[in-house]
Amino acid sequence: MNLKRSRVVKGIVAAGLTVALTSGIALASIGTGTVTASSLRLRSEATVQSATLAYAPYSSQVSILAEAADGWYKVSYDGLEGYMSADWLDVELTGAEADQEAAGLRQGTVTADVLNVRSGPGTGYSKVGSLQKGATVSITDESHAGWYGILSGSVKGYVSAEYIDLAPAPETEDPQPDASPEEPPETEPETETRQGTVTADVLNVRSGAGTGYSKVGSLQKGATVTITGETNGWYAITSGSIEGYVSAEYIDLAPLGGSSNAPAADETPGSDETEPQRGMVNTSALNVRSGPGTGYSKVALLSRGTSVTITGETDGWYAITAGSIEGYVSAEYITILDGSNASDGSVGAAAAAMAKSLVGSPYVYGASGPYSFDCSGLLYYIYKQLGYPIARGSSSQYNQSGYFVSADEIQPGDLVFFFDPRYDSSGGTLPTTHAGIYVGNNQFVHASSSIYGVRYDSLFGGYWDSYIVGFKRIA
Amino acid sequence: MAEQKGGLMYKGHPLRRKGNLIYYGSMADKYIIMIQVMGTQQDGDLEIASKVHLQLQLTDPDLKSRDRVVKKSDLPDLFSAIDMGSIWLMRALSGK
Repeated sequence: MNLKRSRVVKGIVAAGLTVALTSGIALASIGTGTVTASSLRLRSEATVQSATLAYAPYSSQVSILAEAADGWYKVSYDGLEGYMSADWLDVELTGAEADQEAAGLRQGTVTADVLNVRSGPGTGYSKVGSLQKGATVSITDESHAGWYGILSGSVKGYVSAEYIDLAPAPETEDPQPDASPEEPPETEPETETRQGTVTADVLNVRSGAGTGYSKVGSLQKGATVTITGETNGWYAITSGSIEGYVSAEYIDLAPLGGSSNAPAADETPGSDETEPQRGMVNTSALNVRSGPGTGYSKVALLSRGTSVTITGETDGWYAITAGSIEGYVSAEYITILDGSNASDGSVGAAAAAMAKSLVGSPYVYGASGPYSFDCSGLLYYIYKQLGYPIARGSSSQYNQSGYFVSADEIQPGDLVFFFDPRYDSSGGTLPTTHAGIYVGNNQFVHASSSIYGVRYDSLFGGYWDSYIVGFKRIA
Repeated sequence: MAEQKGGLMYKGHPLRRKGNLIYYGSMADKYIIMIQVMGTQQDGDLEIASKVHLQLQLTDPDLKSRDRVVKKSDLPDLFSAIDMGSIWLMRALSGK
């Protein structure tokens, strides 16, 4: 092949790769990633054997399109779509907004042992993830025969409808007006105001009630907002000079009675007012009801791992709030994150309690919850739920997240890092091959393998202590 | 670390260094920690350990050297090695 013809062929191949990668259903961004390597390859497939499409220098920003299996992300960079290694990306997923989208959508359950999630509605589309049997999904698109568009945690894509068991359509998608008598009526948002506090580290303020609206500002954790209305899980707020809409998931509502316009909070007679505690749903799907008993109507459904604020307890039922959702849940399915499961209510103790509640979850490489995890994904999920986002990959967590503590000072919630050269694929350039979370009594919890899933193991004196390389505390 | 006449002490056990070998603990005890600096890197004008080999060893003189190694690990810096070594030594000497 002469030189000119070779160049033409290479050009056609490059164009073909570009078309192939950009054809099909375009995925919405699920977050952003920052390159932490000096130069990170954008590859055509999720494997080091595939072609390099581009090089992203240190601190480049990429758009995360999907979590692919085997420690890769599908990304968009410099107008190209491809795959980058998760170990060299500091990823910030907009799971908050993804979770917000799921609220109110029809739910389904995976019936196959392992179900592929694809980038489009057909087997010709690339695989972007997988779901285990029993995983709950939110149905986002039913317009393609035989395929559902779904959202499950941070995984978004299409699955074969044959392997989804749909839940009955909910009678109502929004809380019943009379389930929360203290909520301002939707027809009079301007006359009822309430205070709230930002719980996310940084919360986007948008020009409208949805992620499709432009960002007009941001609020730091702890900022106070005045809520002037609510639309589909979004609050209209003002905070100082900022005015716009924020996701209700990240606003902690102040108890009524602090506002001069609102009636005193008293949801049902006889409820015990206790100091607010935080808890986490420990079952796959938990009904939220309008009162403390199964005879009350369902107002919402919470998935495993959802954080709730417990505002009262009555006869084995907790009065809870979770974002814009208020109601009652059976106490049996809530793991307390501070209080009885945590000796001092610290963030680390809460993290350890959450880790213990996730023991038994399946291991899936590339997964970061809420139903399956890889080793660093488990830590990432736990601290994200607690409002302390950390890096995604174990080496990135080791290098960037928290601060080092010595082995004789470790406390529940501290991250434990391991390096086993037998599992090192970086040629010794990465500091870790595995990670877990210490839970006290010489035990740590980790997403071990596809055989053992998330499990307990002894830290010192057993198999693992020869591979420990350090401990880090997040908060 | 406290400094006594005759050498350094760390958490109640002596530290002795010769070249790239550091021994933590005493030959009079049943176990001792050996730390070996395998690689270094420049950090400003300092050369610091970047790859450190750690061994928990029995001190029984009748054992061949390879039979004395109870367990071993490779760590990215000297602090981590001494940190882990002190835990290993404490647990071993307390019979755990």
